[in-house]
Amino acid sequence: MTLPAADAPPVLMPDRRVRVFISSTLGEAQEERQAVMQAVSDLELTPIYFEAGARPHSAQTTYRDWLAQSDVFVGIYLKSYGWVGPGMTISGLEDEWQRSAHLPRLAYVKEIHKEIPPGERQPELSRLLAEVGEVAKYHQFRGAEDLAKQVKQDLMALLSERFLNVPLPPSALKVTPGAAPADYPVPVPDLGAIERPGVLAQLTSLLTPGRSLVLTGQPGSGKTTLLKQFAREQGAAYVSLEHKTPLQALLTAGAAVAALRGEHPEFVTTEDAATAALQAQLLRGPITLLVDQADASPAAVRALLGITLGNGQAVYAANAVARDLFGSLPALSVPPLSQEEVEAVLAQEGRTLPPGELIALTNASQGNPLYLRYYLATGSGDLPLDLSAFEDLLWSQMDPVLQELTGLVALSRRPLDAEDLAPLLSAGGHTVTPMSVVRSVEASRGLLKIEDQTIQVFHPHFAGSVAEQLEGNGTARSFHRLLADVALTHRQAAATAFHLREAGDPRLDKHLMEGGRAAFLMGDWNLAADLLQRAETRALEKADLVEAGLAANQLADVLSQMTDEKGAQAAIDRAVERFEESKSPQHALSSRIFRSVLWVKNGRAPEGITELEAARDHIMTLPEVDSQMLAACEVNLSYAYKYVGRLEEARAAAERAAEVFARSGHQEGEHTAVINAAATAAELGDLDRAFELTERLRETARQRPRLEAARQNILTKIYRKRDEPEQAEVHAREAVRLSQQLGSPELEVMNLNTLGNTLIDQERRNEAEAAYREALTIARRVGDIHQEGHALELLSRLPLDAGDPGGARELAEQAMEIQRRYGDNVRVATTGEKLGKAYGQLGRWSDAATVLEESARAFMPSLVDNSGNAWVQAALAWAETGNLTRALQAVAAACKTFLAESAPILPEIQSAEELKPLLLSLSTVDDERYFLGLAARCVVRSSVISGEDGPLDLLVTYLAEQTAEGSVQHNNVLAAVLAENALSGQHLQEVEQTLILGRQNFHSHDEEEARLYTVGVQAPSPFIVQLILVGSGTQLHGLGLAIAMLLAGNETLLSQMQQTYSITTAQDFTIMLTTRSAQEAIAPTSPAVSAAIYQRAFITSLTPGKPNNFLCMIDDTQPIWNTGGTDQRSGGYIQMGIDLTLLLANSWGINTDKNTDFSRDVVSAMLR
Amino acid sequence: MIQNPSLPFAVDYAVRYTAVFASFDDFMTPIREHLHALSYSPPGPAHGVPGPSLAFIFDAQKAAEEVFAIFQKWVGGQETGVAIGLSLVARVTGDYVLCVYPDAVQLQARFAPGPLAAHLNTQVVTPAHIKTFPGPSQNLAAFRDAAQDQTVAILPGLKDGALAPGLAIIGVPVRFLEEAELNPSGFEYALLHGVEPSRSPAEPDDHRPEILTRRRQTLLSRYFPVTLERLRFNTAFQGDLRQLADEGYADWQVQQAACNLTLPERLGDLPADQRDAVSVLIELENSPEELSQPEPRWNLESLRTQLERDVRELIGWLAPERAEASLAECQEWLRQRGDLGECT
Repeated sequence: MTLPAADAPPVLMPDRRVRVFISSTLGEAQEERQAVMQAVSDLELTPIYFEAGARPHSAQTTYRDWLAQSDVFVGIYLKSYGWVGPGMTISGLEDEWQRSAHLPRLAYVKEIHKEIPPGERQPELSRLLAEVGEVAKYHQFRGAEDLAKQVKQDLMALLSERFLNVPLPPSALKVTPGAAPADYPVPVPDLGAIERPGVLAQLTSLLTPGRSLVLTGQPGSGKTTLLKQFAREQGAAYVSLEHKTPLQALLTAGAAVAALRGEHPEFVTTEDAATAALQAQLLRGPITLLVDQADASPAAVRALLGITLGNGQAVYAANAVARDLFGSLPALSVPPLSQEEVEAVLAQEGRTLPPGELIALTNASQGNPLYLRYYLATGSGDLPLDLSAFEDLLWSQMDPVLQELTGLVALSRRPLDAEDLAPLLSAGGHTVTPMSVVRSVEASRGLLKIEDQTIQVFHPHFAGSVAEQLEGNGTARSFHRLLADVALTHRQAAATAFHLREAGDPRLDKHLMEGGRAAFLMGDWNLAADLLQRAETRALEKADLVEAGLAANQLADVLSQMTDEKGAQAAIDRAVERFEESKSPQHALSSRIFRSVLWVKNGRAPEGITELEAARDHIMTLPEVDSQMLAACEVNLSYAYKYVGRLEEARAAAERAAEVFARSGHQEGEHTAVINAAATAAELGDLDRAFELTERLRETARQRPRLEAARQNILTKIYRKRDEPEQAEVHAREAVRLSQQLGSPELEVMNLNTLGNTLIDQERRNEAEAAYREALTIARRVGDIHQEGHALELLSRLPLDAGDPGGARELAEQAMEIQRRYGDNVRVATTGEKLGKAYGQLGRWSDAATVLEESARAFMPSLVDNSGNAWVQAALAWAETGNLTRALQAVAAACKTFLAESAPILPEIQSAEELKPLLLSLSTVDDERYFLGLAARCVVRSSVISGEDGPLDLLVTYLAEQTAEGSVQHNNVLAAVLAENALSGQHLQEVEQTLILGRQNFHSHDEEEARLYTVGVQAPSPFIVQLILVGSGTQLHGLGLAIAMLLAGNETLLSQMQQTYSITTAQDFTIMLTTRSAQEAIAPTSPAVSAAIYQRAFITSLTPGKPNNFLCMIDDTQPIWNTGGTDQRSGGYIQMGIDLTLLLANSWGINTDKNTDFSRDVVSAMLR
Repeated sequence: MIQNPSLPFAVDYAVRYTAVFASFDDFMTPIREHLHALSYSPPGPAHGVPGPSLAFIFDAQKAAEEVFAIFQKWVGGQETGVAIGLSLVARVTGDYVLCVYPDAVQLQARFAPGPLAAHLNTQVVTPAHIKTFPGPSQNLAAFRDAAQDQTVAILPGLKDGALAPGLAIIGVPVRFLEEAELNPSGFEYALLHGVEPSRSPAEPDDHRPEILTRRRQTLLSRYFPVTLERLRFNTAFQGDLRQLADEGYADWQVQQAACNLTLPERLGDLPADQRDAVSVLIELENSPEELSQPEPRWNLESLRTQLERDVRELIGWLAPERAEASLAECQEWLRQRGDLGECT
């Protein structure tokens, strides 16, 4: 037998068992008190209760003393507050509660049921219960049996929590010595050291006992950092081979290993002895040897490689794998920093860049940590000057052959391979073969690299540095002459012209036009502009007006791309003039076509389009139609149409042009036409076709950055519309990068805006805002007002979403002003949507309605949904002004827009008097109750605003009559109207009476404070639903009636759903619908329930143990606000529908994984 | 197994049955035996009751609670005590008389709740009690001055000074009358002089078939929502409906009969002596049909029996002179009137 420990709690005598004080009024709670006393006794606890009767002390003295000696308080509350004794201001019931504050308290309240209708509980008791609810959780009970069970459970839980929990001894709280606290600081990395855990993990995983590994990477790629991190984190011997002989390397390695073991290094003086000593060290136990700067001393590497590693391993870090040194050792290349890593490095330094600059920096540094560190060291946007010193050092360390090779590669306009370079180097006095070129590259310590068979300088910045060196020492010209010859051999016009220009070679004249044209196509617009300006000047010198005109024409195109609109306009005017002067009608026509396009771009769209259409018609009337000219005209028209939002026409023109160009083999024209066709197809939502067209250009675009930038932009749009924003972002960033490469601010701004959109799609609002703001800054800097307007419009969306309509209005108004000035209907339409929303949120409904109508009209006809939605929003906004006539006109316009040919004949609405004819017309639309519902909502809202009841009376009567005749359409619209809480009690009675007499499956039993609706649904598995409405007020009445109507009026739909979801059993169920205020009149709502109600307007909870009883609560304590179309009420109504479907799903036993589908199907059918 | 034929419920829900309601609340005994005094308190924060208050002081707590429970019943859950008639009549002798009685309209609404008040021909017999206190009283004069044009709160109290503000009823209109000026047709006059109060005559009833159909449809839907739906879902019942239609019965007649067949089980605890139509209607009004309602049970034979009872119930009201006619004659008469218009 084990005796209890001396400090264990003693066994309590029966009279010292836990005493449970039972508090209640005496008369009404007799049965409940008896049940609780029994429950307490069952638990072998002592019930303490006060009963009337003769006692030596007063009642107050008795119960107060007993309470003071009790351990637990149990309060039972029904409807009576109890008696207030002489000299007291509160009843004994409340006195007991107040005096029990020191005890654990359990409170039980009889639930509001038929036995205690709302209002019968004494107000004093309700007040007391409110106080009880503030400090304790209480349970509701139905009857004595229920109460006893609950009390027993609660007491058991309370006792186990409160009386049996022995506090832990202090020792249990002691912290184990040596254990790291959770918030132990992580070591701060060295300044400039970039943590790359992924790469480090990869390196660790590749290490094999007894073997070596080569870690490669460009100078500055972070190899040393990586090795040092490895040494620090995992324990390893580090040795750098820079400036070391083999002996020095062996001694240093030996010392490092010894230090790692906490030993003194062995003193040796010969290479053999050092090798033996190190060998012995390594064989004593596994050690990781990290050998940095391996390509600085091949001899030392060889010495180290000759040592057996035992179970240890070695890592050699080198710029490149020298095969003669490392043979077939496994290698790991340190990857360049990704854009995200660059961003992380910047963030580590507390810096952020707008997305455009980030792309530019990643691109410029090529993900090279060294260059990035230089950037960080100076903090400026430009790479620092002291980098040049580093690069000069690299250059000076090269041997002459490598310098020549690097110089040619660095200066070349086009990628060179070993075959190109071998003869060039030979011509320089060396005998060089392609193989020896490759060997030279391999020996360059990573300064040169071979990618896709072409030889490249490791970093573009270093290439620039080399070019400067050559310019400085006067050898660049000869290099360029050599490179021009190679380019000429390969028929590369832009490169030829470039190198000839750089070499000062007089052969340039013959290559100006062709070179300028090629440079333009390649996106090298600065070169193109320079070459073309030279070409125009040279042609004028030769008095060749046609040639001058052609050069000016091409130059205009280039300058336009560079957003030098004035320069472009001047150039095209010169071209037209010179062609006309030279009597070249074909060329003159061509220039005029292009001039028209420039007009379109520069705010003279109508004029430009008229000119283009006239030109097209003129070409068609010529005796011999010049198909290429016609195609050129069409392709430009497609651009112009697209610019002003006439997308269908734009697409048709582009497709026609592409076909003609393809037939005639005019590739350049074909590419432009295909891009235009793809862009318009994407805008029109024909994504498969758009994708197909971009794929057609994939190969060609690789060589043409401008084309590729356009292609990437279209791909961005396609993926956005496909709801794949991450993929869209990749394309948008590439488009921004290409725009920067092209040096086109116009393109960059456009693509930054697009990038922002992809970020918005991913809810990355701050990044999106940075992109838009950068776009806005650039647009303003270069004076691109059009793109400025677009950026402003996009920016306006952010405050709108953030609940700052004032901020949104300001931005959207500025944007709208610009868009209107430019006549850009597409943007007027989209900006109008945002501005309308902002006005709406500011309560400026009239302004909202007006601008939304402008937006609706501005959308191109093909964008039916956008235009129609704008009409819908306008209708709702007019309703909010109380102007029902304008609202109904907008409803009619929405209907005509959405339904087009199939729209019913609608009356021309001149006044709200036409409501009935309009309702009748809208009711004829098969399967579409949307417009009827919209009109109904307008009537309801305008009636609320204007106080005019006439139209509302008419509406309710009309809908009720139609519903009674069996119309599902009208039934569901009427349900929505009921849920609006705009109808009077009289309206509701009228509807209810009509339903009772008109719908055999709807039944009502109304009382003053409670209504009971019964609805039967005849389906394959028929079922009955009862709705109990507890509380008063039109909101509860309207919503309850709406739910009943949705069930009663949709028997066919519910039957179909049972078949679709293979329902074989449908349970009857009950919904109790109440309001928060009705509930709070009984007991305060808990914070959790309050939060749930606030968020959803409705809550649904299953009554424990009764799977077919549900409670829905409406929050009628919050003010209802309206934002025109998507307000709390309709949200609540839809939520109500969703809740209803969830109840159905539950009673039908539908699996929870199908609930969403089911809910969507039913709600979309009922509430569409 | 259908029902006990000895306890039939024959109800036609279009019939305007006549009901006489009388209250048998015995509050006279406790008032007479235990009401000790009336105590007026001026407006103030006392007891947390707004406005002037009148405490009914009893010498027994039980009696106080009983009387106020009856008052609460009259009030019927309303926020104010408008349903309580309270008068203080100054007699020519100098004494004063407390008259307490429930408001007739409220009483009628309580006995015939919901649409029944309009559906039945109701006659209400209200209980009313008086108690004379010796006078004159300065306290009464002060009370009259304070409460002349407003409502008061009434609450129970005990002789030892204890009060039950939780049982207080606020918003009770009180009238101060002089015996000599009592209106002979008024309630107080009748009470003081032991005569019947005068009544207004009932309005004539409208027996047009469309009116009856509407009334019947409304009440059947109200009282048998679950049963009607279950019958609608039941293919066997639909078959019987067609069969009985062939025999000349209207759909509503068959549905009503099937509903009436559920009554013995539903109202099983209604005492046999209260199985009149009015009691049935009141019970149905007070006990809405719930989903727990058992499935309806019937067969053709029981339906035919119930149909005949219901037809005779209707004929007995519409045309008592045809009480001896055969069922077929009654049906034919109803058909000609247009009551069976729904018959297929």
